[in-house]
Parts: sequence; C-alpha cells; structure tokens
Amino acid sequence: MMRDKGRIYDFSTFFILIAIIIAFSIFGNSFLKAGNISNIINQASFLAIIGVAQLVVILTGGINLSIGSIMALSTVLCGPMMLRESTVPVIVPIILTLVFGSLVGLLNGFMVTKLNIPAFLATFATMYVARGAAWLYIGQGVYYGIKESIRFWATGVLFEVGGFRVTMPMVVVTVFLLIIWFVISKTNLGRRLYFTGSNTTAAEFSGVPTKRIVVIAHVLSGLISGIAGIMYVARINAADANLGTQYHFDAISVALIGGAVMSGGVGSIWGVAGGALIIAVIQSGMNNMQIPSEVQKAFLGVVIIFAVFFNNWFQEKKMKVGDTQPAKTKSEAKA
Amino acid sequence: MVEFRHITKRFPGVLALDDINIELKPGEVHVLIGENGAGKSTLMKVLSGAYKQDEGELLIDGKVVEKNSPIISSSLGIGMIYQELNLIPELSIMKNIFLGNEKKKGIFDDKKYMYQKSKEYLSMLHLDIDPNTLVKNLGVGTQQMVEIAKAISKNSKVLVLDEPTSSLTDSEIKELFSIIRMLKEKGVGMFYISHRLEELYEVGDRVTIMRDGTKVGTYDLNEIKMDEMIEKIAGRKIENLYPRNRIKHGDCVLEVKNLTGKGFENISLKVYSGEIAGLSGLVGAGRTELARAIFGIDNYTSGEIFVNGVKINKNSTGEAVKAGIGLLPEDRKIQGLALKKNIRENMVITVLSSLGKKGVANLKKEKEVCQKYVDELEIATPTIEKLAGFLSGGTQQKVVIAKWLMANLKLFIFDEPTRGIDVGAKSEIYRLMDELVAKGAAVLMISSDLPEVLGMSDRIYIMSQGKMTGCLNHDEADQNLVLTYAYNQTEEAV
Amino acid sequence: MKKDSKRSLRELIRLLPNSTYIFVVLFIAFVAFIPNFGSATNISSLIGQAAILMILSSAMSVAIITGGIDLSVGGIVSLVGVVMAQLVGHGMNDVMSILLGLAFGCLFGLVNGIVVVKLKVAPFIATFGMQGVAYGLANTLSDSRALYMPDEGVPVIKALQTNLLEWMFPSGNILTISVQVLITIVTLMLLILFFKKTVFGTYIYALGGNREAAKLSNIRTDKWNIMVYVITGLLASVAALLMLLRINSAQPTSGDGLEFQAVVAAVLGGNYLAGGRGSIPGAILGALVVYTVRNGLSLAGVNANMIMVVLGIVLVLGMVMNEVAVRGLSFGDRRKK
Repeated sequence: MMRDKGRIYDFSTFFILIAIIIAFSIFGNSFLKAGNISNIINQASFLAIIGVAQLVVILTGGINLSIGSIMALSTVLCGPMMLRESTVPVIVPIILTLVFGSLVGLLNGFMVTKLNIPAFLATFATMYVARGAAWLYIGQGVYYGIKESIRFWATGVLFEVGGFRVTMPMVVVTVFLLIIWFVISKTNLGRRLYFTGSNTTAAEFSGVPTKRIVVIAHVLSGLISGIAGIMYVARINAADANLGTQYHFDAISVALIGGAVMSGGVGSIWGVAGGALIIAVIQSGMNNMQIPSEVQKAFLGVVIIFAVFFNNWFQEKKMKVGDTQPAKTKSEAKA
Repeated sequence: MVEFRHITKRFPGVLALDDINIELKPGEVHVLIGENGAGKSTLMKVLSGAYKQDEGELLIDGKVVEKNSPIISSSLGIGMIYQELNLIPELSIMKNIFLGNEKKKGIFDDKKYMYQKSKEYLSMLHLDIDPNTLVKNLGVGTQQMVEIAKAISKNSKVLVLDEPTSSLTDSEIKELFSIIRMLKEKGVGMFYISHRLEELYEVGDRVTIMRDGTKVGTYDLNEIKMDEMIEKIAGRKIENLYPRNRIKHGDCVLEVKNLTGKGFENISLKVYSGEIAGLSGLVGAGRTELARAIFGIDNYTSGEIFVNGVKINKNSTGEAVKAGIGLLPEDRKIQGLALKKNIRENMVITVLSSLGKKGVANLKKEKEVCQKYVDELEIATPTIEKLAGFLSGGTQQKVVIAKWLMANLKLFIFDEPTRGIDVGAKSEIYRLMDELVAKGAAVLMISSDLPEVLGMSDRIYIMSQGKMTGCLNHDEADQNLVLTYAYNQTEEAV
Repeated sequence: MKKDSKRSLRELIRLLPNSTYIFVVLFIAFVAFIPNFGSATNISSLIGQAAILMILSSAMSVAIITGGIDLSVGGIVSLVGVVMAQLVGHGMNDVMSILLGLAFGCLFGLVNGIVVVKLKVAPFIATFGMQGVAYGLANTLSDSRALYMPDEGVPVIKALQTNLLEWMFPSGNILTISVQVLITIVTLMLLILFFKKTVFGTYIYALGGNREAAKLSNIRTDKWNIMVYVITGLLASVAALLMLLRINSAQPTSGDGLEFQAVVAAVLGGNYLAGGRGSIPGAILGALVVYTVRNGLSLAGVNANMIMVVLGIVLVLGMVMNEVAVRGLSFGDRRKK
C-alpha cells in the first residue's frame, strides 16, 4: 500500500518513540508500569498543547519564542477572577485569557508582516515584553487557590483501569487535537496555511492572501498559548508571572521532534502528539534515572539541534527518493 | 586565447549547446548575440567553470582545460563581469579589488601597497576616486568599473562582459567603451554579450550569432549589416507546430491604461476575449514586471487596470483572482508550485472556497475535479497524491495550467509558458491555449520565443526598455519586424 | 591627501553610528532630569555594568554582520564563569583556570559553528539550542548554587579586581576605574584592530554582504563562518571573566537574558539582521545606550520589569529603523533567493 517510498519518512517520529521506549524499559524497570504510562500520557497532554501552539507558526516558516510569556501574561491578567473567592462566572476569565493571548499573537503577526521583522526576533522581543508586563502587573506576588471548576480540567481523574488513570487532560487534549487537526487539515484556512508555508511565493501567485494567513497563524498560536496557560495554572493551582519561563523551549522541541520542518509547510498534529509523547517519555525516563532537570534542559537543547538537522535531512531524502521514480502514466501504474 | 572546440551541453530535455566552435583572439572584442535561450550565457558559464560541458574541449592559451571551476578559470586569467554585480557593498573599493587576494604584512593587511595598487588600477580606468570609498556609495556604472579593476588586478587576459551597458547612462557607456578600447590595446581579449545592436558596431570586432544552442556563424562586423544580422538571429522557418483556429474576437477583457511602475513606463494595452495577445521583447524589456503589476504582485505608481470595464485594486493577487485574472509564472518551481505538496493540493489552491462548503474543504470533490483535469490534460502521474517536486518540467507546467483552468478565469497571463519544456509537451500546451480562447477566454502571452509569438498570437505587443514600441496584427507581423521593434531600431533599420 | 579640517569633521560625524546620537541625547537628558545620574559614583557603576554588555554586543555584532546570530552568549557567560570558578575551587592556579575557561568558551563556540555550517541548522535555532545546553551544563557543574571565590590563593583574580583609579570628589562622590574596565578596553581595541587591519573584518562583511561573491573570490567561507562563532564564544568567555570579577562569584544564572540585551544593543548600533551591514563601535555604543536606559530608569524609580518592556520595544523600533535605513539605499533592492 506504500505508494511512495518517501512516505516512510513521515513516520519517523513514531520510530523514534518506539526506540526510546525500548531503551528506557531496559534501563529503568518500573518504566512500563500502568501508573507510569498514565503519568507520561498525562504529562504529554500538556506538552501537546504548547507543541501545537508552536506548530501553527512553524508551518508558516516562522517560530514563536513568546509562548511561555503569553501563557504567563494572559493568565496573570485574569488571575484574580480565577481565584476561589472571586464571584465572576468561570467563563469570563477563560474567555478573557484567550482574548489576551490572541491579542499578543496579533501583535506578533503585525510585527512579522507589516514591519518585516523576522519571526524569531519579533517573538524574541515579545518574550521579554510580555513577561515584563506580567511581572509589572503582579509584582512578586502569586494568585494562589484557583477555582475547583477550573482545576478539574487539569487535575481531574475520570476512572482507573488496572492502575492506568484516565485523566481530564487526556480527554481535553484529545478533543483539542481533533479540533485543531480539523482546522488545519480540513478547512480552507488550514490548506492555505500549509501552502503558504511550503512556498509563500507560489501561494501569493495563486491569489492566497499570504500576509493575512501569517497573521492568523500567530493569532492562533497566541490563542492556544492562552489555553495552555489556563491548563498549567489549573494544574499548579496558582497564577504567577514566572509561569512557563522555559516552555518555549519545550514547545520547539515537541514540534520539531514531531517532524515539523523549520522552513515551513511540513508538520502535522499527530506528529506533535508523537513529539509530546517522546519528550514526556524522555523526561519521565530521566526522572527515573534521577537526572537533574538542568541536565534535561541541556539534553533538550541537543535534541532541538539534531531534530532540525534530521528533519531537513529526511525532507531532502524524501524528495530524492521520489526523484528517482520515473513518472508513469495511469495505465502503466496499474499494470 | 580562448578556444571552444565542439562544445556540447545538455540539460534535461533540452540541448543547450550543440557543437560550438569559437575562437577568441588577443585584443579582440568578440560579440555574442542571439535571442534569449540561444545559449550565450550557457557558453560563458562553461568558460567560467560554472557548468561542465558534456562533450568537446575548452582551450585557454592553447592548453586544454581538463577540470574547470570558477576558481580555476579565474587563476587562468578569465575575468567575469556579470550583470549582477559581485561586489561587497559595505567594503571599500580597495578591499573589493583585493577580496580573497589580500596582500599581507605579517598578519596585518598591507594597506599602503593595496591602496597604491588600487589607485593605479583606477587611474588606468580614468577613474579619480579614493580607493577607500565604500562601494555602496558608488553609482552602478562606477561599480562596474570596480569589477573591471578587480579583473585587471588578477591579471585577467580575457574578460567576459555580460550586458555591461544595461543599467548605465549614456556618458557612462562612453566611458566604458573607451576603457574597452584601452584594454584591447593591451591585448586583452573580450567576449561581449549585448542586446543593443548599435553598440556592437562601436566596440566589436567580430560577432558570433547563436540560435537554439547552435552557432549560426561568425562574421566580421565590418562586413555584416544590421538588418542582415537581425535576419540571422531569427532565421527560423515557422514549423507547423502551432494549432490555431483564429476566431473573431469578442469584448475587451483587460484594459491597461497608462500604467507606470518599476521597470515599465506609460503602458497601455487591451486584450479581447477570444484572442491570444502576444507580448514580445527582449529580456529586461519590462514584460514580466508589467505582468506582475497587472496580477497584483507588485505595486505600480500610476495608471489604471480594468477587467471587463471594472477597475481593479492595486497590489492584491486575491483581488486579481476574484476579478478573473490568473498568471502562469515564469519560474514554475518557485512561483508556480509548492514542490513539497502533492498535485491535488497544488491544483485546488485557487478554488478552495468554491469547492468546499463554509470553509471546509471537500476532499471527495477535490479528488474528482483533479482527476478530471489530470485525465483531460493527460498529466503523466500514477496518482494525484504525487508530490509536485517529483514531476517533470512539462508535467509541472500542466499542473500549473490545470490550477488556473479550474478557477474559471476571464484572462490568462502566460509568462514564458514553454520555457524548458520538450517539444511534445509544448504542442499540447499550445493546443490548450487555443481551446481556451475558443471558449471565450482572453490570453496574454509573454514569450521570448519568436516563432511561438508569431505562430500563436492574434496580435503582438512589443516592448523595449520599459516602453511599448509597437503593436502588430498577426498577418502583418514577421520575425524581422518584431525584432526591429524589440531592438527599438525603427528609425535606423526600416 | 590633506583635507580641510571642517570637511573631515563633517565626514567623521557622518560616519558615527546612529547609536551615538541616541546615547548623547539620552545621557544629557538623564543628567539633567534624573538626580544622582550624573554623579561620579553612578557613572562608575554604569561603566562597570556596561563593560560586560559592550563585549557581548560587539560579539553579537560580528555574528550579525555575517547574517547569523548567536543567542548562546548569555549561556556561555554563565557556563564559563562556573567552569572557571570550579577549576579555582579544585585548587587550580587562577591564571590557568582563566585560560582554560577561555579555551572552553572557544570550544563551545566551535561547536556552535560546526552545527551552523556543517549540519546546516539555521544560526538562531542552533545557538538557541546550544543556549539550553550551556544553561544545563552551568547548573549541573555548579549544583545550581553560587560559587564564591576563595579569599586566598588567587592573587591574579584579586589583582584584577583592584581599582586603577579612585578619585574622591569634594561632594563625597567617588569615581573609580577598575582593572575590569581596562580589560574591556584592551579586548575591544584588539577586536577592532583585527577587524580593521586584517582580512578578518573584510571577510566578515563579505560573508554577510554577498556570500557567492566571496566564494568566487576564493575565500573559504565555511572556515571563516565557523571562526565567527569561535570568536563570539571567546568574547563571551571574556565577558564571563568580567562577571566573575565583578560579583566575586560564579552563578549559573548570571548570564540569563544577556543575549537579549546584546541583540538590542547590536541592533541599536545599526547592525542589520539580514547581514552585511553594521559596525562594532555602533554595537558598543548600543550597549552604553542599553545601560544608560536601565540605570537611568531605575534611578528614576521605574520598576525593573518596566525596563524590560521598554527594552523590548526599543529592539523592535531599532529593527524598523535599520530596515528603513537599508531600504533607502540603492543597494537594498537586491533580491535574495
């Protein structure tokens, strides 16, 4: 059924995942227990959200370094309304968080398309500006004690099967991934997004409003960062300005391991899901081996570099494999 | 000094150079002339080592060059002066002249020596500028002189000048010619490529005319007249490759009024439904720039564009597509297709909104429509899910055409539709264009291939150096007339 | 050869990077409006703080002129500081420790260069990943703790921490010029000397301005491009040494955010991010601007977080300014594929 040999490269993420799981199960004996697997998937759910926030921008050929800062700013601004003692309906801070996230994304998109600033620098500036703004707003304080109705989404356990706990984040993320998958793979917007990323010039020559598409991608990324912000705040039961100082790092790792190519146009939601699982497995495995979190960050740095290298290499290979196949007409192919 | 012996070079599907023999003598200015794609640049790239010939040999100073590369050829005394300048804008003239070839005292630059030498080279070229001036502060003409100085500093015995006058003012051209004469006296041999015929007589000694990768002949410029030369440049019989059923044209679809923008000036033209309007001219005449402005890729400074009498907005391709204009770009790999995406995704990008419902793509319908066009255009592919990057040139072009056929356009702009495509695919594309106009669409075809323009067009617009120089009906047009307008030689040659 | 002095003065003014004016205006305004800003004590501390950033921004400038960027300089400052402190802590002679630290920084830069050139990873993502590596290593080697310099057995470090000049003003203000400032000046002078007087500067501009032309001129572009990251690594290590001397300890977080400030300073100094343009003196003055803003605003009682927001906005404005400056030039229209 493999129509193109090149397709094998699309599944590289899952090969890596399997290899890593095998490696860790050999080194750490408690690794394959149901409880641990449940923990890993739960952790991967959070990573998948920020990975998708990164993916939508990488698909256009850009990058978003400000994801962690957007998470902090948008939740801190709504922090007081999320507290247990607040009388504001739950939906208000949630909606507002998403709005704030989208607004910061809009600002990023504006800098990239109108001011012609490369995405990595525009979002690099935003990373500091948004974080600074969050600190300005809250000072050194913390909004502690989040409403149970919000916390439930990030900490709730639905049921347990043989030690495997099915948690709310798993459900939330499954739904979330399905929605985003639908948006970027099934809608016209998503198709234009991919096309713009694969070749902006050709997209423009086909009447696609490429600048608008890039802005939309940044807004979407900001919005998803807002969602991620709520999930993390709900999990740690507090909103503070230091939320996710390193999450842009995680987000890039997840998206890149998921097969996204930095030049744009290549990458998928399911790749990100796989990437999130890989990072979660690595983190859990390294925790099992009692490797300090700082070393884990160093490791992620190396992972990012090699992921970029291998994705490019895979992409080149893929194009080469296809190149050697002679073009056949329909009748020849059937024979 | 330089001799090409039986040089042959093939590109996939095209014979770019076919058994070329040319000899350059010391102190000679040897002009190369021919239409675009005649093989002049390819030949010069063989000389510079950018390309390797498939057959034949290249001799420099009587010795066969076995292995060539830009670095080797430069060490053998070949100096290339490209249209696109190869200078570093932020560095001084002196540093540019000695780039990669610095004279050192210990680890430090020997500035004194380089300054003195640069000064010498510049004064040799009658240039009185401080060698410490930054190149970015110089005019284009002076920058070209710096390139020449750089070539002299490397003791180049052979210079290749590729369209050196295209961006120079008249006085700068005079200056350049006097330098060329001075270099001749020193025994430097030069290949000179230019589209401006009158120049050739001023500086050239001999001319080699090329056409379709073959050499037509080498002539002494004292012995060949300009109209004779034009005839030899074109000189092809029009084969019966062009299936045209000319019909009476309908209403005006596109009207361009006094359009001025970067690369073109005060252009007015009309294209009617049911006709193919050719747009001819030389490279750099401003045709592609005009097409880009009409399609909304680039902005223009003044003038108006109407489609079916309705004015369309500047600078938006989306707007142009909505109005019913589609552009088949010159460079299909960069502008026409996303090579990482498959045939279907490439084809339907123009019609996503009309195929899907409420913004959701309809995969089933897409597949149906694409398969229909794949069958209809006989696109050679096992599946519509094949990546565009895997297809051959002709097939890729068909995919680009299919993508616009779907969009139900009123006006198709084809920019060099058959460049780099083999003969079989060519005639299919011609047949398609004919069908299009038969169905009532209008076509504006930019082409540098003269027989193609003459064979396909109902009317032919001709541009030269950014201006519209003529418009001919297909029955009054012939190769010489079109070329005369394209070289803008109306007064002298007719 | 001799020009009249008026003309050469005008030319000199024209050659000054834009950041000069910003600096002069800001400085005068701050002296006039912010109490204590102009005091000798404050100026001394301003220079001391800015010294580190000057070195980092000139390193950033070198990378940016080639069309690259080095986001790992902050990480290298932390990491190399920790390496030096650990070596001293393990009883190694302090001169040896410093030299090994510098060598380690070069090695780190070499890895950056190899990743960029040989693995063809875009500079910003390569050095971004390496920043993570540096951060992780710095924390691991220090156990995430500050490592203090011992009081004895480090004569050279003590010597480098002394002041060259202390001038007590009648008002009680003290102007101090330390050896660290001397190190900074010597480093920057050497860098500018090599930049101006050897092929190094020429090739840096050639790499960023027109890499194809550089290749055609027989320049080994790959080698020089790797060299650039070795040099940024070395300069960042010198900054690490200065940091170590200043706070008399090495902290795994001491370099956090410095890469951001260095980019801001370099951009303010007219370094255009597409490469090929920019200058080291501009970046050095840019660093002064950044620290004048930080110092001035904090003396004026502005919240430290607000300053970060301001710097981010300054970065964006600086990039827009450079973009406009380039578009105005005739050379700016050259299309890149």
